[in-house]
Amino acid sequence: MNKNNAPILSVKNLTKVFKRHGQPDFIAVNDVSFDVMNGECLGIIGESGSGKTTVANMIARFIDATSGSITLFGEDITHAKGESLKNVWRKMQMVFQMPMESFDPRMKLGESIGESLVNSGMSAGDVKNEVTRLLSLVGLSAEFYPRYPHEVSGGQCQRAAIARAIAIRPAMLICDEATSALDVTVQSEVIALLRRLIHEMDMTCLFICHDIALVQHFCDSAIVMQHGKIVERGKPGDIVRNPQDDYTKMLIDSVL
Amino acid sequence: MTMENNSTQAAATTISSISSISTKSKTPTIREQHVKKKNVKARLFFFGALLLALLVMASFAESFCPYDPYAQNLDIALQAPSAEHIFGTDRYGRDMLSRVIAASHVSIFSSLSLVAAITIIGTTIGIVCGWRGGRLDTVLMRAADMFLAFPGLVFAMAVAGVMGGGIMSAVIALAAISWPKYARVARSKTLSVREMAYMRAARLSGSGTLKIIVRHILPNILTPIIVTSMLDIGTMMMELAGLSFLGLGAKPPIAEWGSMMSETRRLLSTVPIAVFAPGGAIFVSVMIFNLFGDALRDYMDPKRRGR
Repeated sequence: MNKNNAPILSVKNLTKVFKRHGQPDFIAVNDVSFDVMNGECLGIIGESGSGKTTVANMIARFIDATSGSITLFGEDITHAKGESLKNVWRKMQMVFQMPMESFDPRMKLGESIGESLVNSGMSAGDVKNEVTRLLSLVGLSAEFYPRYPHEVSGGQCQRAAIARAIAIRPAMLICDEATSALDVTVQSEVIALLRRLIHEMDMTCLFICHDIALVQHFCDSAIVMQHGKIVERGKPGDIVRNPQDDYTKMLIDSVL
Repeated sequence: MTMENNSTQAAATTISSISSISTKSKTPTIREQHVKKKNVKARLFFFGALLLALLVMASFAESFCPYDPYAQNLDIALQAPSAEHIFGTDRYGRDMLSRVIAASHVSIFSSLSLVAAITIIGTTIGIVCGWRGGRLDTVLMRAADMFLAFPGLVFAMAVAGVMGGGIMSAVIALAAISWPKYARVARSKTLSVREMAYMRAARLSGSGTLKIIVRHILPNILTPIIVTSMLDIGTMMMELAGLSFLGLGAKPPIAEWGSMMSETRRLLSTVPIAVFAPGGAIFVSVMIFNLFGDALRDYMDPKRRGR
């Protein structure tokens, strides 16, 4: 999938320390650096609490980094705020772990999917047509437009979440455990859908997952995180075949 | 052998107690749920209809009055209930029934506007505190604590006294002590809603703070606030009547249930109906608002609805 050597996303020495009242500080992410090249799909593997979601949250600018820098398309976004942050979000979207919780329970799926289009100034009629097109792109019929999140299955909801994420044609997609809450058959369907869309829309992807087999199947390269640090990096196939770190070996043993 | 018997008995007892527990805590059948749901809906419609009737009466109170509620006629003062004057007349010869009906306008609409004001003010402050957090949250919440620390009615009396009486100052006095409850509910709900993944999704879509608050936070925190305010209307009506009774609310000759009870309280032993008529009107209205509030709460809470 690699097209050229320009990194779309560059993370340098990223660190996140959570201050805790009356307890020692908790270092969730410790000096993490990596680049994601144009068109590449980078997997971040690690068990719960390894800091991979915190990395994603810092990249998406939901939380501030304690130190380090994040560069997207050559622009430093580490401290982006206001309009410049909205610009960042036009280029980068995210698919969340829990599909149902990522939709406002009081809004129709179609309205949620079209929210970014409305915000970008599209007219109501065009938004409706575009949302219908997006729904069909992710394998859902127009009947899903007026449904509420609790009226659809987890898999259908995650498809709608993917439709929402690709609505404004972002260059970068962050999938934070996007398939972890789904059962195995639905998981493979959603993975196939993501793979097709990433290819068709020429997106770069950061794929956060605890399942090393899934990363091997889906990603071009991978990093393994433990206790907030990167312990191994390389091609997922090489990592699985020839793990260098004890923690990676343990992860592989637990799956295979 | 005995031990074996004992242990068998103990096991039997455990099983029977478990089965009794499971019978007690068994989930309702679909039919039971259906009946419960229908009952809740029926209650909501029944009390809703009564509430509507009350509001229609309060809106067009003057047209329902058999006599002019303010026309004095000392020739017929202090009359006992009769076919002509069902609730009798007061010491100025005014028809009590007409005055009770006319008073519904001030009593009910001042309570409604009071509750509307504290709901809007309290919810706005609560959302701002929950959303912004930090120093602003600390300052506003400590202010709310200060208001909660005063004995409510005493503080309202002081405020109404300083403002010089009148129904408007009674409403402002009660609003000053009642907003913190709404601010607290709105703040705690906002705090839980703002952490949901759909808030992050809304931010990613490029929605600004105001749009997120109006489109995503407000609809998701409104249910408990509406229920609280519905249940509060009755309480506020009593407190307003209380202030009026003490002479800090509606001023005579304006017909208002609390001030009418105050005017006629000396007649309790001679013409008790003159006190009981406005008192009964307060009782009935408060009951209707409270029972409707209860039914609304049950209807809006899926667990109580039997789903």
